[in-house]
This record gives sequence, C-alpha cells and structure tokens, in this order.
Amino acid sequence: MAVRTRVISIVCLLNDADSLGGLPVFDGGALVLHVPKSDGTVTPVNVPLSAGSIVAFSSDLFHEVRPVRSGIRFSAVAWLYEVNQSEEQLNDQSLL
Amino acid sequence: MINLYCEYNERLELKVTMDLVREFRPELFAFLRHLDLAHLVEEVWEPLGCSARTMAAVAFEERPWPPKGVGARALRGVAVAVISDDGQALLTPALLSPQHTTNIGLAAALTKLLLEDLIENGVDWAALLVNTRSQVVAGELRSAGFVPREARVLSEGAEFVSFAAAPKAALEQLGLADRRLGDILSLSLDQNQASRLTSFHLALAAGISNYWAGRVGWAEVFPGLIDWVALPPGGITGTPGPGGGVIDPVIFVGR
Repeated sequence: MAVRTRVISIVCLLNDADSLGGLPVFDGGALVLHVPKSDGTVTPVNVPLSAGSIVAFSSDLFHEVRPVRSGIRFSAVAWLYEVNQSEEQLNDQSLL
Repeated sequence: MINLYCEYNERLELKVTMDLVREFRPELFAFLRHLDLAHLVEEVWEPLGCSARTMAAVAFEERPWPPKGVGARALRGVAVAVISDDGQALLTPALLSPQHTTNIGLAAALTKLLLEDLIENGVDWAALLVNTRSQVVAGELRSAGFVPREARVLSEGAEFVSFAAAPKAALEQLGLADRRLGDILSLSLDQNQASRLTSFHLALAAGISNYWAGRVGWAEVFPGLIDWVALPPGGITGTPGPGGGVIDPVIFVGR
C-alpha cells in the first residue's frame, strides 16, 4: 500500500489588502510560520504576501493564518508528496 | 513605512468584550502584573463589573499550539469604558504591555474598536477625566474634538474635569473613522495623521502614568473606572439644577 506524506506546502495568495486591480480586498489574514530555532524556541515569522505571490515551505513547519478582520481572503494551496510504496508494489513494478 | 510593531500587530487578535474579568481573568492578572497594576483586577474591575456596564477593547496574542490551556493567550493591550444607562461612557486611556509603550498603532486600533462599539451600543458621549491644571492632555483632547463638561472628580487635592465628545466625532477628528484596522495597526497612514495619533496616545499614556504610580496630584488624567452609582444625576454632563442654572456636579474619589 502506498503512503503519501506531505513534504512541501505551497500557498498562492489570490487577493490582498490593495484594491488596485479590482480584486476583492481583505484586512488581516497574515500567514505566519513558526520557525524552530536551534535553542529550542520558536520564532513567528509573517510571510509578506501580495496577490499572485507564492510561498513554499516544509509541511512539517507549524503555520497559521490569523483571523481575517474584514473582506474575504482567497488563496490556493497545493502540496508536494513523498510516496512510500510497499515492497509488494515495488516488486510488481519491477516485473513490468 | 516600516514600523517596529508592524508584523507583531498583524499577529494580534483584537476584540471587544463586555465581560473583561470573566473572559480574560488569568490573562488580565499576567498583563497587569508587568505594569504593577495587578491589584486593579480584584479591587476595581471585578466590583465595577458587578455594578456597572463595562466594555473593553482587548488585543491578545495566541499561542499556535496547543491553542488551549495555561498561557495560551497573552493580553497586550486593553482600553476600557464604563457605560451609564443614559448613553454616556467614561474612558480610561489604553494600557499597553511595557514593551509596547510606543506601539501607537495598537493604541489607536483599540481606541477605534472601542469607540465604534460604543456607537453601536447607543453611547452619545465618551469622556475622559482631565486635571483642571492640565495643558498637554487637555490640548490634545480639544484638538480631537473633546470639550470640557460639568462633572468633576476631586481626589487627593487634585481636581479633574470631564472632557467629552461624541464617539463618532472623535473617530473622525482622530482620522480613524474610515481606516482599515490593519492600516492603523501598521501605522500605514500619512505622516501627519501618524504624528497626530502619536501625540494623542502618548499624551494620554504619560498623563495617566502618575496616577498609576500613586501620585494623583501630578496626574493629568484620572482613570474612568468610576462606578456610575457614584455619579450625580445626568452622569458626566450633569443636569441643570431646579433653578435652571448650571450645576457643578462633583465626585469625590478616595484612593
């Protein structure tokens, strides 16, 4: 049986706080990554995003989107997976 | 323009609560302890909450994980209003964490939230109590549309007079009315407006600091944490006497 594990998370913001361009705007909704440091502490880092920008980060990183204060925040997300196949499946593939 | 608190403020959550002590009791103790004001919770806000209607705008930080439990939230700013039944509110200048003394965006955002909620709750007048010998704070309040009214507080030889404004007018005068909260938190405003908010909030914070330090006579601002039961008829604006003349309502507040 194949097990899919998220490795990389990708976020594309589709709108932002800027009304130029006619897109709907929102206020708040910051994307925050909680980055672990070598001393064991975790530092929150705001990811500056504007409409159309893409950020990719390790999927095991704590991250959050802060509450949207007004408007609607549109974003698209995608993940890159690592697929661990069972020995049986690997054998099947080698027979082909 | 880059602002020291810009990113930090974006991570804060802001809300208005009618029950500050019950909703944020442990956070309030922790927040006020760093300001040497932890006694306020049990000595003032708790009894005040029982007999008067209070409203507080709060800003707090949330721990990402685990989201519940001890230490999950930390208050970073509080602005309180005590509301009377006749549509008046007494304000106390926003209290901020010690590391946020110049976080004007946060103070202004709390002011905006609180004043907007006062409007929604039908409050006609919002007032601050100002030392009658004050020039700095009184001047700032006048420029924000506040005018001196009748009610007075006497405490430890000092006299404080109420300066009142309609919340909507105050929001407009301070340039907060049509601004997004995010722009205010990050101080993404033109420099004149940012300077105006800075002088307003720093004057109020400095003006009340002597009161918090126990030097009432030198305080330019008296906290609006007064039980409305103690107020004269008419609340902060007072009512005309039987003869139609202007009365001079006085509230005596001991420490």
